[in-house]
Amino acid sequence: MQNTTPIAIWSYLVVATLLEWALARNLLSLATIYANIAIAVLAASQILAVATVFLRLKYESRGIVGIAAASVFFAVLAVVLALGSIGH
Amino acid sequence: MKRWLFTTNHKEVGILYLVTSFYFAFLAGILAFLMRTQLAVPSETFLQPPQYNEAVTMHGLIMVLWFLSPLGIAFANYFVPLQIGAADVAFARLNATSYWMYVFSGITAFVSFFVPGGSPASGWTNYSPLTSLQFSPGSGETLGAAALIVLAASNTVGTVNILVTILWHRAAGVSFVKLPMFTMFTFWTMLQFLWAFPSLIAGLIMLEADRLLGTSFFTSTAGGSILWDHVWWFFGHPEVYIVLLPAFGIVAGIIATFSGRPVYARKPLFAAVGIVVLLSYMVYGHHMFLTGISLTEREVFTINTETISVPFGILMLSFIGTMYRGAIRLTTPMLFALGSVVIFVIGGLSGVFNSSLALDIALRGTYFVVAHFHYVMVGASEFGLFAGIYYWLPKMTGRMYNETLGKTHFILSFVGFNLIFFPMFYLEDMPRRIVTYNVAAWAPANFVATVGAHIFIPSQILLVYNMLKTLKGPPAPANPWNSTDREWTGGTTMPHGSGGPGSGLGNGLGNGLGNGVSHSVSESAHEVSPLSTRPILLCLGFAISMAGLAFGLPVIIVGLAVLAWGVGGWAWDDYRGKFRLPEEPEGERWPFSRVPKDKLAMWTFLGSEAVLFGVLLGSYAFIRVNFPFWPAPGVLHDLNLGTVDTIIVITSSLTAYLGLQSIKAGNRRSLIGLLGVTLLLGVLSLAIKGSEWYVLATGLAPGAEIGLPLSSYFVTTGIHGAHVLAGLLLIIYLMKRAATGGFSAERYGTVENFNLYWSFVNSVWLLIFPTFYLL
Repeated sequence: MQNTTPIAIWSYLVVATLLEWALARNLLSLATIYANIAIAVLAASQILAVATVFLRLKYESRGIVGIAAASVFFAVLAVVLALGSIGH
Repeated sequence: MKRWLFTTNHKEVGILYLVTSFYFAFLAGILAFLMRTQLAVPSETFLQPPQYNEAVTMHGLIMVLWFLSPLGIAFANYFVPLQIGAADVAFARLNATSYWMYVFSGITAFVSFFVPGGSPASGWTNYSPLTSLQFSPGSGETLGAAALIVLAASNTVGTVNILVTILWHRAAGVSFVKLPMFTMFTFWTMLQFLWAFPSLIAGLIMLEADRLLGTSFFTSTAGGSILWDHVWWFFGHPEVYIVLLPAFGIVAGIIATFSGRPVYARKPLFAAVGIVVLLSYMVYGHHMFLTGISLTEREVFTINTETISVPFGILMLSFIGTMYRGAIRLTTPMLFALGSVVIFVIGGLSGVFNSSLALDIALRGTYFVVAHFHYVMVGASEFGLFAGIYYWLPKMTGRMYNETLGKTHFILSFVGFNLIFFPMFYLEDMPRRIVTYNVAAWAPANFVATVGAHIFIPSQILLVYNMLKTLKGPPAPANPWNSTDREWTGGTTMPHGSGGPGSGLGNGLGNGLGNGVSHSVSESAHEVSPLSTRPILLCLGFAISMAGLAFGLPVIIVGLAVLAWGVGGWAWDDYRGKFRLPEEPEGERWPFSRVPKDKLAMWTFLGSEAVLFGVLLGSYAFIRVNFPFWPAPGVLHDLNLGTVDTIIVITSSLTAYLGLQSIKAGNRRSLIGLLGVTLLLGVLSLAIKGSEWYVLATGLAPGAEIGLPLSSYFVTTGIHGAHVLAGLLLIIYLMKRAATGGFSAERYGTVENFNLYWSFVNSVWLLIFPTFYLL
């Protein structure tokens, strides 16, 4: 079994989660804005890691990657258009 | 009767869709009749204001969502497999499931007329805060929203099915470029279904939560009507094209057939429809020009809306180019197709006015807009779909309809339709949705419109009469229109393979498919789908449980019991291998040649799920940005508990993945063990969420409105938790199957699909955790 990659990814996900926790509790003494940016980046990297390995997008055909990418695009579009309307 | 209740055959399901959609059109037509009678003359009191509001609302909802969209789906069911050379749709039982959900959703919607307070009455757009308990205290609104959720679920299931059918079941030679027009337009339409309806589902869940659980998404100033507008129109504007595009697919094919020429500019047409699909999600803000959204975004929406007229211009040029120098035959289908184009051009041109930010200020909420959207959304679609009925009646019945009756129907419909809606362009100062008026200047146009309604609506009886008469009409030739599309060259009564090149049936023209393909599947193969009682049972249970939102917990429990019976029976059938369809020979599957069908379906489904959670999290973000008193991290939620839960979730992804690897290596015991660990981790995660919910919920005063931070938390984590629960039930099923040797190193598709689902649900949690707990 080629289990090295998933276990490595799992390890990264756990470490990233603990880092997020530490950032949220201000254990790393970062300013709130930087801590929030770091948490957002870590969360994005976690999702990317899950998508790449556990959802196996890394090994999938272009068609599947296309469906996934298009769906994420429309999900993000919904958020962007809603937030973009704020501010009079 | 038994056959029609339990059928899974795509043709029969298509006919069921067609007949049912006509039934709903009849009901919605009666409501239109009542409305036009009320507005015929000033100061009329035929309807009281509440009745009028109910009629307006239900007329719009039913016409759009229970008639026009499903009629396109009816044709997709019947003809997409025939056009691409498939024996059936990809998932026959799911096809019946989407149909029965559609039926029961419609019944649920109509039951709302008979509950205290009446049916939904806040317009087909369900605008907030009209839908709130304050303004709609009756249970009709709750029931209406529940019906819409069931309908949206039906559409999601149907979408996945038809998309996979088109992507995976094309016969050899039917490449994407060679897709017949109707199938090509259906493909794009299904993509719109896929990404638009999740927004509706998300909005309706939030609405039901507001009405039943005391959340405050649409009753607060931070969310409120603007949030609803976003959620609704992200679905609602693509819905316009969902209704229109299948009709235009029919129109494109018919124009080619009856002009005796291939479709002009086929590839640009294909691209243009794709651009329409993309832009349809980016123009919806023109419905919100007067709501106070930012000026920059209003300008962007203006530009986008004006831009979308370009691909539609390409469509019109293609239609005209196809007819140019063609030998045009003005049969009934061609007349309706031309009527659709003419009506669309009028509607489209009036739409350019509405896209202008400046002009929209004057025209918004007037009868000018009513005229515009009826021309585009109703007239163009309806005439196109009617064209399809006449075009394919000989195929569906094996008999010819009465041409004189058909042409009479067209003339009365065309005249009646324009009499109803063209005068409304001159009522650009009359507000829509008013029950009556006392302005003398509005009276003539309203009277003419009512006369038009009294021509248009009864004239549809001719269509129904003609359809019934066709059942006893003269036998139809195998290819009465001399079309080159596969559904015709396969023949109404011809044996398998008789419609290929050289069969002498095609004339080498038609809509450009070119018949460069051989029939891989016999038409007789279309008759083999076995019966199944599971879909109707499952859908009945689902609809009853959703109706229980309005009628109370006992009804929900009964519904869930029936649902469990249906789902359990379905799983049992699978377990015993009772529902099997013959494998089709491999044809064109690009770009999914190496992707199993079930996996493609799972990915397609996850695509819609991504938008569902995107809209939920977008709603959270919208509220949070607008709400100045959001609690700091750690105030509402226990960071430590959330972190532990997240690590549990992550670990369950790993164990599920390792389980898949195990069975790929042929280790069944390891699979069962790892699935067991995944199950335990999932249960533990749910228990942690449950304990958090308990703590948060018990801190609330009884009957108090839940604040915004908790509203978004409860709903988002609640929906996520429901997904986890569904995953846990799947694990139990997988373990049972694995224990009896259901999986092996060669046969592990279901485990892989579960893995995808589980990883997706867990990846959503990786977004929820920082969003709610950390930031």
